[in-house]
Amino acid sequence: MAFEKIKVLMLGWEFPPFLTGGLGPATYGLAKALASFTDLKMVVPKSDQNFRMKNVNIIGLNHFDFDEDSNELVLPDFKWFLSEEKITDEQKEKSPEVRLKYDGEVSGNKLKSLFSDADSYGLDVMKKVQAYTEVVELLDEFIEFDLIHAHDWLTYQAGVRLKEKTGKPLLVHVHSLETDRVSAEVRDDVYKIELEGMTEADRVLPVSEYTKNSIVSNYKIDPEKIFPVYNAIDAAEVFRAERTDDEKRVLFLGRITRQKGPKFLLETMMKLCPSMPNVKFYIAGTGDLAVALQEQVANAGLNEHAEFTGYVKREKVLELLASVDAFFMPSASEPFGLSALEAAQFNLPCVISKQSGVSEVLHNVLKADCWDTDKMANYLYAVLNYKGLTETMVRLTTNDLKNIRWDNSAREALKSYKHVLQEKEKVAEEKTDL
Amino acid sequence: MKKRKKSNIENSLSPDENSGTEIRSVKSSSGKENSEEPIAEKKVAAQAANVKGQRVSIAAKTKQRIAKSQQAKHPGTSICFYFQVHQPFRLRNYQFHEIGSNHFYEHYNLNLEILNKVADKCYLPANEKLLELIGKHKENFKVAFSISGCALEQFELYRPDVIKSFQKLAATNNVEFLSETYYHSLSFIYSKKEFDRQVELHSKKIKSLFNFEPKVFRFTELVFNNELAKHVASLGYGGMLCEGADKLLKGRTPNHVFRAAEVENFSLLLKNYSLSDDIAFRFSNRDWDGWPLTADKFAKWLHDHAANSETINLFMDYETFGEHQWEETGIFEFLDSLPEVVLDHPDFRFRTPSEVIQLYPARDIYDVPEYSSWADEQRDLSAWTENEMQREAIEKIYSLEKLVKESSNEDLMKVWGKLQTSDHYYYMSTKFWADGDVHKYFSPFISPYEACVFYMNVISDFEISVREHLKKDIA
Repeated sequence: MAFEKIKVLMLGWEFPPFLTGGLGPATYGLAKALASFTDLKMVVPKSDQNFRMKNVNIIGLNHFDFDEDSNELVLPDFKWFLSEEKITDEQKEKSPEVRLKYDGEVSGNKLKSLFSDADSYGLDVMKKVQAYTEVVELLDEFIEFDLIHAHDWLTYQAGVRLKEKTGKPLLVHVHSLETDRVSAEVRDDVYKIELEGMTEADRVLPVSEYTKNSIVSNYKIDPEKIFPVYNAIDAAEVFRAERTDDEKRVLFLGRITRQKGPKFLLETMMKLCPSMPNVKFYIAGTGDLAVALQEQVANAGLNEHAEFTGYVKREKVLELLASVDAFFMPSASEPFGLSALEAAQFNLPCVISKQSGVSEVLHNVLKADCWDTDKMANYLYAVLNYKGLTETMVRLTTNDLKNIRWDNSAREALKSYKHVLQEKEKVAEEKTDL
Repeated sequence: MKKRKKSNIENSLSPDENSGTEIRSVKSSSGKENSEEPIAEKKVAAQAANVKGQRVSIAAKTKQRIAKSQQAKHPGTSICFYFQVHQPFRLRNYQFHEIGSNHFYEHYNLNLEILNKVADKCYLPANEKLLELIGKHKENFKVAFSISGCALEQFELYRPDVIKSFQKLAATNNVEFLSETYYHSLSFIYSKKEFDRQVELHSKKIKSLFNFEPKVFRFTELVFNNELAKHVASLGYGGMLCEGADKLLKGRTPNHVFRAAEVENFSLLLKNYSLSDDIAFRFSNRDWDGWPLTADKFAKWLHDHAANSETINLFMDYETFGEHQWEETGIFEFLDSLPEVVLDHPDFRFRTPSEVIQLYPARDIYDVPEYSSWADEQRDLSAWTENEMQREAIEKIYSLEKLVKESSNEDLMKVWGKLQTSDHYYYMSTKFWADGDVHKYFSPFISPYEACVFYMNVISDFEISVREHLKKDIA
């Protein structure tokens, strides 16, 4: 046991190469780092067979076919489920096909198209969650694992069902909460799924202390079983696009939704722009409040100070990070805020909201309450005008980044793995004693 | 701690080796000739022995007599207390949108609040205690102060009672006032001209308030190097105070008068940081093996140096008494008892820096090519000039010198001076901040970055004011 790697069944939703938000990169970063410490299987609704990871078996449910005659799910090759060294000679000789009896509520015929959908979320996300849950529940027949690690509400039901079925410990990872996305008062179906997942989990792993506090106050989960695992960032080569103009560029990057604080962005702009004729805000992203924000900016007479880029592809994001002068994240509630780490990596001075997890790990950025737009404007003015300030912030942030590595996050997760397995062993021993 | 003290003793020169050394003649604050000093000293020593005699055994008396006869030509050991009194004009959270329109920079309420607090907790009660001790021990108890112009101005503005209290001390003639830069600045490093102006300004202020002409100099935060010594000597001072840094002492004791490396007849008094910090920093620290520090214990530590120390320089912030170490720690009782138990030893006297410089020859050269200070472990300038924002701020303020002086406007000169106070740059230090530990960060601001933001906003406005003033002048 001591030398055997812990077998982890990880339940993910968004995963490379299909990325929409922050969940995919974070799940990937953690999985990659955990791969060297554990025996890791990752189940996601949709995977690309060309996307491989060292030491991680990625199982995309979109690759299952449905055999109507036998009511079975069919996966062409069992090797997907197993580590190379575990495949016995006997198995190699058998047909590589895997068949699972399926009688879920979501019709078997619909599974393939549901899981192949280009949009990981979309309007029928609840249906997809249900299908994912029903299929994942069957996987224990073929996959050997010691514990279940589920990422975000989309996979919690599957995790809970598997735990009920197998008795294996469940850890739920909280990348974001419905109470962040909607409002602290929300009590919808998603909230209920989150609540059930966290209640049933042996451990809850939020991405920050900030999120832990939200979980405690909005979901009343016992803080004793909540252990933050910070998001991190891989070291990367960054570049700088030299500019000759005297514009001062500020980047806002993210969905334009209530959670990201477009209201505070606007207020800050209204305070800063009159004193800085050469300041320009690059607002990159889309969202339900994008149009409203654009109108408000126009009404405030700030069109010359704003550039709405709409949805930006990865390359364009990097281009923006390489060419702007400051990064601004006035989020109303940000469980982590991975984009701030990326901006920091691009040597940008960051002005970010205190209502974010990332503010707990970046000590040398300027932080203010999201609603304190006087302060936000003051900070942006300073980083755009005082070179010494920016240089010190950036130099010390580079030091901070050295400690914000996925390896460290993986170690934290591993501690919780060991803990829940030990607890399980203890319980088993107690039962034997009786 | 103890180990370091021991090594100081081991490495120090024995008095015998130097018994033939002539006492140098230096400019004296009182104008007295140096040759008079040993006689006066003997008298005082005899008096002390008489008072004490009633309490010591015959054996001890004999021991003392032998010791006394051995050191007949030697003035014994001096305890040289110097207390720094300084309060900066702290800046308020000056917003960027005020630049160009609001020229009031100071945090009036905070400065008033702090001054009131420190006056009541420290300056007044400590002055009263010192006055009482001087009354009690007469010639045998003396101390020195260095009071920055910023502090004096704030006393005059908000707490004239503190000025009166210092004036009472001055009237005893047992108190020496040292010279420093009026604005507690690092000016020497950036502008010698400005340094000279501030030193003169400060001397005038001390003269006008205390009728005292400073003869010994100390620079902000005990910043020191050879070049500074040379310059200060050229201004007519007989000596200056500096840190006794391990890296510069290289195993030597700080408990003698030193002389500067590149200038004749310029004496240096080196802070014994170990013993000074026992009072200033460790006094109330219950994790320290010296706790609780009683006057008896501390006096014994001082007396342990008797054989090979001529002066033990205890330099510290005056706020140690009642502010850094609260009254409840027993710091005032400690101060109250200390002179008596120190003077129990017949060879010990409290003397002022000027007296020490007159009394003892320089035993060694203290060679300091690079700037040193009394701050932090490094004892260098890093607390004020280590990061980019500090350097930008300092460069910016001194880059305005020409403009400000061209304006020859008294008010602008004053504001410019106050913006040079070293505290502003100290607040921007990230040395103890990098890990985000706010408990190690002492400042009126919430972070070094805020300190920088508001300071830079202020000097942005200040520059506009100066330029506008010059424009008006031309018009």
